Formats: sequence, structure tokens, C-alpha cells
Amino acid sequence: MLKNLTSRPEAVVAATALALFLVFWGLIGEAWLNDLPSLLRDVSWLGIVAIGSAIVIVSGEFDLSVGSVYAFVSMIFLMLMQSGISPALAFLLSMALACSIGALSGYLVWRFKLPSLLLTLGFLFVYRGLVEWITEGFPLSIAEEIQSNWLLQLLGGKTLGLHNSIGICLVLVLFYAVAMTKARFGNHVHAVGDSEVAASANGIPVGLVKVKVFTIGAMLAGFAGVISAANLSSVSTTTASAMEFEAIAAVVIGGVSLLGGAGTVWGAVLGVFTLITLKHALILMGVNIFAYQIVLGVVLVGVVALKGVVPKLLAAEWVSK
Amino acid sequence: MKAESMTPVVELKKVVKKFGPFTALNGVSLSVYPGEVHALLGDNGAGKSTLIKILSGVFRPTTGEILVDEQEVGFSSPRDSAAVGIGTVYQDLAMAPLMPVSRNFFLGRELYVGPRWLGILDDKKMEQIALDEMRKIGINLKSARQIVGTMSGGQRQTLAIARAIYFGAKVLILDEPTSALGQKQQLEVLKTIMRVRARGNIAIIFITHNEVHAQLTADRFTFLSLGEVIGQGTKADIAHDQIRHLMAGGVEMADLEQELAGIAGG
Repeated sequence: MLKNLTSRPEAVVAATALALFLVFWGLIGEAWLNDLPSLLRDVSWLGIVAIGSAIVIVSGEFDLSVGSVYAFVSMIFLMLMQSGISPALAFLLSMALACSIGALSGYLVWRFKLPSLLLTLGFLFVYRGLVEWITEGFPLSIAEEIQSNWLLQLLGGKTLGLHNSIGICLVLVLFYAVAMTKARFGNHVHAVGDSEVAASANGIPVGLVKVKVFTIGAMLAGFAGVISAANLSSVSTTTASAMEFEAIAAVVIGGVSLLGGAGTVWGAVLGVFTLITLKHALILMGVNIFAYQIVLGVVLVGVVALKGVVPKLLAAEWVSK
Repeated sequence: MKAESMTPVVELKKVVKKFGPFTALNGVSLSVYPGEVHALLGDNGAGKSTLIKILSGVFRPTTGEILVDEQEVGFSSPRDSAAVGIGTVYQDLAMAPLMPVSRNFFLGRELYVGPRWLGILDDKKMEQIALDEMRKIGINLKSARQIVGTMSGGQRQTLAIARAIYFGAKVLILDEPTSALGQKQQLEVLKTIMRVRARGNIAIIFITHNEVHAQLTADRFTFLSLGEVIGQGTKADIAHDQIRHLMAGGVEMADLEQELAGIAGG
């Protein structure tokens, strides 16, 4: 068991993340621990998005629109509540919207054999553009009288000093980890990402699998958006901009193969933890926040270079053990 | 001959397949018997692929009959062909290289624990069955979790064959199973073919353009050239040198030699 754990790329990421955490604790001191709740909150938001990105990438596709979907769905969520609809109904409608956005991408990718990278790049601009157009650049907020609503508290509030979103993220990781490794759904996602020809020759409904993965990806992005809106009580035009790239970077760091067919959701979330740890450390150490982008880029280039050395097959062997 | 007293499991009668003005198969008849290897030989363009695709339900014949267990059948999809027990093992084998043996074995036909709609996989059972079925035709794997991409070409071929048999194939169509392999791997596949043959209840259609492999394994031969059968019979019926002659599409070796000599001399 232990040997299996140490031979996985996820174990390397986990060790790296832990080491980084301890190093920054040493460097920054008590302020680092005080920041822990907000660090974990940010991990959970991006983590929920990254679960979806990991599943989409394992299926052999990309979804670059998740950051825009995150902002668009949370904007609609706020606007619905502003129009007097109850938070619970607004939540359900927003989730339905997120799912249909994903299903549309998945359907178009499958039906017209479109390259998902370019299709979702288009949707990245479409949904971001809608957010900017509709809000005219002004932030939206949740009226104070409904901020204490039970659902908003459940999604955005805290329990015992920790944000509820952390627990929600953990439950989702667990659920999707099982779905991807122990269930028919994940088996078919892996097969489609590994060899679409083999999958369809064996009777796997490739189109349906694609619609499902994009739907889950957009649903989780929208869900994370709604959670963050409930917590911050506001959405702005810059909400979650470039988040899709952060998510993809995290997924790659977490050991998911960009060629499809190999990778885990918990690896992706560990990748998120690594990135967010770096981000918060830079802020707390007083480094210019724009340096984060540079660090993100350098880490990504490093991981990709490292992966070039390790053959894809070896990575797959790790995953299966 | 033992087969003469048996009934063929699959029979083609005067099958014609036209693609527009082009005739790919022009009245091909053949019979395949259980427990026998039937080698289907011919050069590129002879019509071997068209014939396989008709048997596996990809194409419908323009005219002619297909009989399975003496009943006439019509396939409108590969599913229909599989349902009557025709298992086709294509050259690419329809395998997912990054996935384990057992997951490939049961790809699209997974076994579940608990209610089916939940879709929780019964990995333990799938691994056990995959290992057992591979062992039956001579490949001992240490673990059914081995990644298919790390197996040898011969082992992969065996996996595909074991899978087809397990899921009910009584006729196994092997599409050039040795062509992409090295010498040693080719031998592995030939051994596998003979082990399947030894079971006695499965008929094998072995498509190849390697006459040595055909001679080593086949009980019966059919030679195709330009969509027509130019030679057919049991091992006893066809003399060794005749096989080479038919393989070359009926061109006289002597003529060919002379022609080649002419080019070299000119």
C-alpha cells in the first residue's frame, strides 16, 4: 500500500505541497497559520473547478470556458436573487444554466467533431463578454437582508472557523474520485480519452460520455462560482478571470496527462493546493501579487519539461496501481 | 476428413459485393467448420477486407447468402454479427493502451456490484475472469492490472482473442494477426491460434498473406484474387507448391522470373 502510494505522481505533488506549506510556515510565522482558513477557502473554490477540468482532460478534451462560466453563472445567481427570487430557486436555476452550458459544449464537440480547445476558447469570450455587457462593468452584490438566508450561509458561511466550501470540496473530491476509478462512468471517460476508436468499437457511447464530462465541468465551475458569490456577496467583471488556466495548470501539476486517458481528481486538487499555497505565500511575504503569474508560468513550464522526460506509459502505470 | 461429416458453422453462398461500378467480391462461397482453422489468403485488393466486413456486419452483401448454423442471417450492424457468435479481432484490436488488462477485457461490458444503475465496477471478479481466460489460451499474466500498453504485441492479440471467445464467439475472425509483429511474437500468436483450435468448438478464419503461417495452422484454405475464389480446399487437397502459386494471384512463377530477368538484363 505504502509502496503504491509513493510511486504515484500524486504522492510527489502531495509531498511537494506539504513541504512548501512547512517552508512558508517557517518563513512567515504565525501570520501563515492565521491565513490558513482563507488559504483553504481559495483552495476549495479553485479545487471544485479543477475536479471538473481534470475529468474533461482525462476524457481527452479541454474546457477553457470554465472561468467565464464561473463568473457568468454567479452573476445570473445574483441577478435572480435581486429580482426577488428565493436563493434556493435561484440556486437551482443557476445550476441548470451551468449544466446546459456544459451540455452544449459537449454536444457541439461530439456532433460536429470540433476541437474543444478552440470551441471553448470561443465560449470563454462569449460568457465573459456577456458578464461585462450585462453588468456594464459594475459589480453586483447580494442585498443585506437575504445574506443570512440558510442556503447562502450553508454555501458561503463558516463552521468552527473553517469555510463550509472546504467540506463541500472534500465531499466532491471523494465522490468524483470514486466515480472515476471505481465506476462505469470513469471507466468510460478513461477509455474515451485513451482511445476513442477502441471505446466506440466496444460499444461505449462516446458522444454521451463527452456531453457528460462537459456538463460536469461546467456544473462544477458554476457551483464554485455560486459558492464564492455566497461568500463574498458580490460578483465583478474580473471574477475568476484566467481561472481556466489556473485550473489546467493545477491539473497538470497534479499528474493528469494532457493527452487524455490518465490522471486523478485528487491529484488535480493537490495541484490546486500547491498553486494557492504559492499565491498566498507571495502575498504574505509582501511580494508584488503580479509575481504570482510569473511563478505559475515557471512552475507549469517546469512540470511540463519534467513530464517530457517521463514517458506517458509510465505515468499510466502509476495511475493504475 | 472429420469436417465432411460436420455441418459448417458459417457458410457464404455466392456472395457479391459491389461499390458502385466496382465489384469487390464476385460470387464468393466458403464454408467454415468448428474446430478448424480456415486460412483466407490473397494479395492486397483481393477482397479479404470486404469479406471480413460482410461477415462482421459492417457491409451488407449486394447479393448472396450468409448462413450461420444453417440458418440464413442478415446483419445490419456489427452488433447483429456478434449476437450470432461471430467475433472479429481487428488489427488495431480495439484496446485502450493506458488501461489495465481486466478493464480492457470488459470494456463496454463491465460487471457490477450492487444495483446496475449505480455502475460500481466489480474489479475483483473482472480481474479473475480476465486472468483465467488468458490462461486458458496460454498466457500467464502476473496481474490483470497490467497496463495493456506494456504488453507484447502477441500478448495483446491473445487478450483480444480471449475476450472475443469469452463473449460468445464461436467463429473467430482474425484480421492479419501476425502482420505487425516480430518473429517471436508471430510464433506466440500461432500458438494461441492452435490452442483455440484445440478446443474443438470454435472455428477460426485466419486472414493472412503469409503462406508459411497459413500452412502451419490451417485445415482449409481459400485463395482470393480480385474478388474471386481462385483456389479452395483442405490441406490434403492442395499441394505445397500450389499454395505459393495461388498466393501470387495465379501468376506463373516461371513467367514472373522471366519478366524479372528481362528487366535486369535490359
